[in-house]
Amino acid sequence: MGKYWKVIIIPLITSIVFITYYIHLQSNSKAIAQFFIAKQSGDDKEVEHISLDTEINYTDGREMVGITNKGSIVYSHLSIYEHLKHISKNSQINRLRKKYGSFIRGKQSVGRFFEKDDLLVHIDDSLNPFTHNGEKHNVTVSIYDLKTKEKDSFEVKLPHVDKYSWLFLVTASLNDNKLKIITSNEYEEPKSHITLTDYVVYTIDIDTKKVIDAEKIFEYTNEDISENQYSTLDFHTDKKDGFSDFIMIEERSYKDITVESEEEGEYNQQTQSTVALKKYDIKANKLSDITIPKELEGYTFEHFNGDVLYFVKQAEQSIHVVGYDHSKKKITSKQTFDSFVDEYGDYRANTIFYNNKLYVTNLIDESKSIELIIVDIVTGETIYKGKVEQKGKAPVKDYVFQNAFLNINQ
Amino acid sequence: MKNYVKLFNFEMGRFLKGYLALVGFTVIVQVLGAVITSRSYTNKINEHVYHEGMAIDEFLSQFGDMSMYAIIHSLWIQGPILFCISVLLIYTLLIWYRDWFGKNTFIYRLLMLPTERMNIFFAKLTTIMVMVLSLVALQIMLLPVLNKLMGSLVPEAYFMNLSFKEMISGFNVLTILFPFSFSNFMIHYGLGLLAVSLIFTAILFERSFRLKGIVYGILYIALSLLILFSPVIMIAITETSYLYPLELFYFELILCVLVFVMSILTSRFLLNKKITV
Amino acid sequence: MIEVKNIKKNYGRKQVLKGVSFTANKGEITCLIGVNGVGKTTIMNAIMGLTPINSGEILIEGKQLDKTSYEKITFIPDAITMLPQMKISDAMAFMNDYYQCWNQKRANDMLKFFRLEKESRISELSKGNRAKVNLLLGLALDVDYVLMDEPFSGIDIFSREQIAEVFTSHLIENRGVIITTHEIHDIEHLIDKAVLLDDGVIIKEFNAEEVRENEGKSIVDVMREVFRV
Repeated sequence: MGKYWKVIIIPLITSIVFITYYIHLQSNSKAIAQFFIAKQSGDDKEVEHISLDTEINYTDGREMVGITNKGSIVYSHLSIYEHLKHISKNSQINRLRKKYGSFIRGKQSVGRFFEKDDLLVHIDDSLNPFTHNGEKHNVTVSIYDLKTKEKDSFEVKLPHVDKYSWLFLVTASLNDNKLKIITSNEYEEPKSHITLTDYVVYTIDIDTKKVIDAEKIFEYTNEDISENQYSTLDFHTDKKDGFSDFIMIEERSYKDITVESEEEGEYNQQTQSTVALKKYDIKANKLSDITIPKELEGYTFEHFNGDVLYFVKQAEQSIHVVGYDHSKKKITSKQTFDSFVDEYGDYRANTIFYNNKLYVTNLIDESKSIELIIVDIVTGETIYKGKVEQKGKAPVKDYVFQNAFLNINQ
Repeated sequence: MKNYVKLFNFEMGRFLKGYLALVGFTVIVQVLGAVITSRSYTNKINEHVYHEGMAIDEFLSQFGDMSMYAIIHSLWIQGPILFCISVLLIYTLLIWYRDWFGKNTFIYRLLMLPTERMNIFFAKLTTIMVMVLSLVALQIMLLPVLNKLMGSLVPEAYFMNLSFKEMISGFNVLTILFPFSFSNFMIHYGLGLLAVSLIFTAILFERSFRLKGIVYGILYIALSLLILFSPVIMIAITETSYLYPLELFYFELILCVLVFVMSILTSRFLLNKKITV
Repeated sequence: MIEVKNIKKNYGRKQVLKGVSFTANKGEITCLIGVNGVGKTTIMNAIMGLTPINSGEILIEGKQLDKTSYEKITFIPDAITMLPQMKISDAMAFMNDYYQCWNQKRANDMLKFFRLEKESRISELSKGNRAKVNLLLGLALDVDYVLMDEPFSGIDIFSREQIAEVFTSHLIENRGVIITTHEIHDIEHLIDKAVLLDDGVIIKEFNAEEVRENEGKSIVDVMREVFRV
């Protein structure tokens, strides 16, 4: 060793420090990986593609973790490679790649895919005027029929779009070889400088590859109502990743209110509720107003299935989900779930509607576990119930969960 | 290989005093920071709680508790880290230029050694990397020690014990220096190695072609960066990515290896054919 | 044999070597003579691979220079090639570490001959002693060829005498020596071949012994003739 001590001792100590450091991190990661969603009732298949993203606050600090029915991962411990692998693993793109192969390449980063049986349509919605070098507002439509293996791609110029500064693709529908794309087109009123949005349906004839009709559905002015109140317009489509037949257009109002509490003093809380609702039938090209019944005031519109609309309201200790059939003007279902509020008063149960299922997550057992309930909204049946537990001898002792967001992958 | 180890040992020896000075400086300043910060906080406790009779809760709500955050966010910790980074950056240039400049003609001896000249390159490259990693390792060891030290100086009720990860999360530079995943560690320091080798190649361009070499060196680095960022630039221009994220990752990885190999081969060519004393 | 074949070297637009060719044999002392700036040091550097040439070829024992050549040929530049903070013993250990052809016994003999202290730091040595250490480090290598660049430059008279003694000693016996100097008096009688350079070209190359015997002229006489023309 003698004179070579420098190149032995320094790298050796350095290596030992790093090895110890990563072993320590690994053991932390392993401990947290023992959390999993334990089934209480129902079929495990329901949670196969589900990940509960939550923040765990424990003796070693805070960590963002993703919990599945198999185990959990610590997001901060993921390498760039693992992170990319994780996000692409169950993505829509990955599923489409498997089915449609090279057709997807190059299209994954722009626009959106719409699938109908074995027909896949890609609409390039990079419509903003700063791209496409002057050819603004051109839409590229690519079609792939898996059955016939036929591929087609064409570009259409949207008419009367010069006044718009920005276009966004809302959704699309396909019926009788007519592709309808619905866009929200923004422009600024020159005098008042108020931003106005036109919602326009463009009908494209796939055979002639031309726009045969353009019709404005309605116009929306985005203005703050008052200093502590504003509203937004949201679109809800009946199919998340496919062509839509109907769109629900929701105006949601947000209001900041000051709450006085003996413990916390004065603090601001935001309330939100759906104030107006319209239904647009794309095929029939018909826009109709929906009257929200009085008893659903203060609720937010979240989902629809045919004529049944689903509204949600967060209450002090519970969360209410109401189904309302607007054609029959009748409330069809009412469900209440526990919603435990933690010491900060912030973390409540969350609800997500996906493919006619309602997913409810809730922090329970003094935030030491997360409950997951899945309800079939058509039948009203609870099809899965589970909660987060630790495997084995519960390696993480002193901890609480904060927030719980559901990730539903394809 | 034997000659590489000898040269590596020699290069380490040449910077050993400077390295020990950096270690000493870091330890002294950070320990001093922990002691001074803790003392000034305990003085406040003495003044308000013991002399003025302020309740602990009231004191805590007014002044907050004491933890490693107090020094991690200060120059006591960040100063030595940034100083060490600066010194090592300067030394990346100096490790070559010191053989040429001043009264030194040591480069004659180095180039006339009966060994592959690339051994000189690799010895210098390894020296820089080992110095960087060992200083990072020192910081990994030092943070928990400082935490304990502060914990022993501040009464328990006022002290918030932080985990190592919490300490690191308090200062962005640390999250780059001590990535939480080993693969990211390899990526971060692999990129560091690549950067140092690119700087070395640029230096060798300058040493080979002098004034013109500065331009060549800059162009070489620009070309390497262009190659490295070409996929991202292509995406920005076409607004379309033909590669999926994982493919892009592999592609970037290949480009990094390519740029590194290019740097090694260019340096080898310059050292063997173009270098001038 | 060292063969220098038609080498050309430019520094920017300036051509410092305009096609230089000569050979240096083992067992001979070849002296490159010329005023400062004619390209003598550039030739030495080029032979040692310390500066690239623009064209031409240099062969050592019929082969181009590679890493193994440094076990056969050594270069003693006019400044010391070791770190100033090193002790003489460190410098010797360094050489011993890397060169198989390092002759420790000869190094110790030379140390005694030059009356140098092993533990002296290079930075603390006088210019003369530094030149001696430089010579020691070069000559203690068992190589076939030794290149020396201005070994007497700026050195006091006593050191110069001692260094000159080296040339008559066994230390350079059977080796090929190429030396550049413009202070030729100390070693004139030892030189076998003289190569006179001016403005990047060889203007005369001759065997010193033959000129001495046939024409009765010394190298300095020839230099006077050539450089005055």
